[in-house]
Amino acid sequence: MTDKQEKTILSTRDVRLWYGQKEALHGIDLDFPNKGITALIGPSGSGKTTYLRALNRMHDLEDGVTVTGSFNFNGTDIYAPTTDTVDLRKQIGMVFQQPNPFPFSIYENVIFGLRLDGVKDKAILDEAVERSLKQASVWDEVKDDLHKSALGLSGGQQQRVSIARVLAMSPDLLLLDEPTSALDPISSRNIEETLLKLREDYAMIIVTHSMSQASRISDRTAFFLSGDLIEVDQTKHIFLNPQKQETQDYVSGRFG
Amino acid sequence: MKAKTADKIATGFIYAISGIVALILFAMLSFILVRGVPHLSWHFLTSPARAFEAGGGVGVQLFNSFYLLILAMVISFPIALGAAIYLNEYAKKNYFTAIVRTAIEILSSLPSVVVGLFGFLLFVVQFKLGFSILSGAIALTLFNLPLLTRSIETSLAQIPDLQREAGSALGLSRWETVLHVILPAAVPSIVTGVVLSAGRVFGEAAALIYTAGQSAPALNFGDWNPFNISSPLNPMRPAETLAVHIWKINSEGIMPDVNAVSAGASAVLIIVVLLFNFSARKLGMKLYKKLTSS
Repeated sequence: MTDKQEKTILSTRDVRLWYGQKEALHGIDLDFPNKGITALIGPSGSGKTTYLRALNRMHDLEDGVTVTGSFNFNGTDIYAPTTDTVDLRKQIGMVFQQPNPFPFSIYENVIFGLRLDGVKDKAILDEAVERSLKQASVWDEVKDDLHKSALGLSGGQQQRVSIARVLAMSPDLLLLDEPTSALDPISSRNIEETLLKLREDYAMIIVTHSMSQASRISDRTAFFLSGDLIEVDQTKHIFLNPQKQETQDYVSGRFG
Repeated sequence: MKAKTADKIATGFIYAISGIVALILFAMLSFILVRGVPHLSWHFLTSPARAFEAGGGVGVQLFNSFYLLILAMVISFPIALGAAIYLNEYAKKNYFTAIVRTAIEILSSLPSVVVGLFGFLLFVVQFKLGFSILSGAIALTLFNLPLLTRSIETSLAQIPDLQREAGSALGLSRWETVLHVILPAAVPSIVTGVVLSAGRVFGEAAALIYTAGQSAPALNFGDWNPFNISSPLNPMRPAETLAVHIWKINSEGIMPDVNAVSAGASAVLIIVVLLFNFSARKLGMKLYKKLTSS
């Protein structure tokens, strides 16, 4: 909660993004500390997911999207022409709204990235599987079924395996795009507990529709509205004592 | 009440139509099988055809059909796979890809006899390949390529974009995502498509009449050196296939048991095609289970 003492892992300035001719982000300045959870909240269409996906250049996959502004990640420029997006995404992992395990076994899912990096040593792979699944709090449920298909798991388990798959790559920053919105309340609860445990070791940015989720798990909260960043502060300040009228209206449920 | 009656009439009508389609198919199949199956024997399936006397078989033609099929598949599958990967995973929507797609569509609607004549003029005459298995295999490739490309492209398109995003978010390049995520996930449905198209290629006659030829010289099944003229593997020899054989003996066959041979050969053809169709789905499901360990 004391982010003043911590280092900044990612600093963005004047982030603007266009879908074709339409400007969807109007100059966002946001910094993220190297530990803890920052929640991005705001109504649908406020630009929070668009902003999140700009951070690991997922918009590169789409046609007609233009991004400008400065993105300083651990001293490197994310959008520099020399940046290797493949390397970048190994450092900035992403978890999506829908659990998206590959149609392979749980084991193969978790070590997928390591295997492609050329890791062959079975001991290292085994260790990575156990560590990542434990970090994602799903080890106890799947440890006897590691070689069964990940598609046979429940949605919540699939989502935690997806998280483990990202953690196995040892990223510095974790982007979570509404990771619980497709899950039932109990699975959501499990994911939240997982994230709270990971908060000690990882920097995380989570987009969420649920204000109660933001208030439960995040250290800092940023409120987006119509492509603008309205306010960012420690979560309790945003919810108890916001500085801006729009924030006040949104967190008190008067719109959105 | 009125809407309900209309619904009932429409439903009944649709059922009747699909029933008629199924019935026609069933009647055709049973007609061919009932006529042909009694003539089938090990001798019929393995011995060479006889032009003037009774008692000939379709052994050489059957072998030719499979050999041509395999060669055609070996040539067309890599091309179709590459084209499908390009179209589904890489191609942007622009003028060029629109032309490629239109070309594939036109190619797939070409009558196979036109493909055959084109193969005759270009490969048999111009390139001097003669009436040969190679000419036939290339003609079959032209015939098969558009349909196979389409079917593989559809298989790839069925893999949800979530998987592509998951791949790139893990730091996989686009090619790595295709190779390690998309293709393994699509293998079962690709295999199903390949086997189904194999069934179609197996029964093709018109594209082969002027390319692989209408004669089946006796083969020496003890000689597997592909450079010998009597070797079954020689790709430069003329090779009448089963489907072409059926067409030929029905139009100019003079052996006394021509009807029996024709009926038996038709039954063999139909049975093989049916086997392809039934095994396609089974094989696909088996592969999916194996690959995804589910």
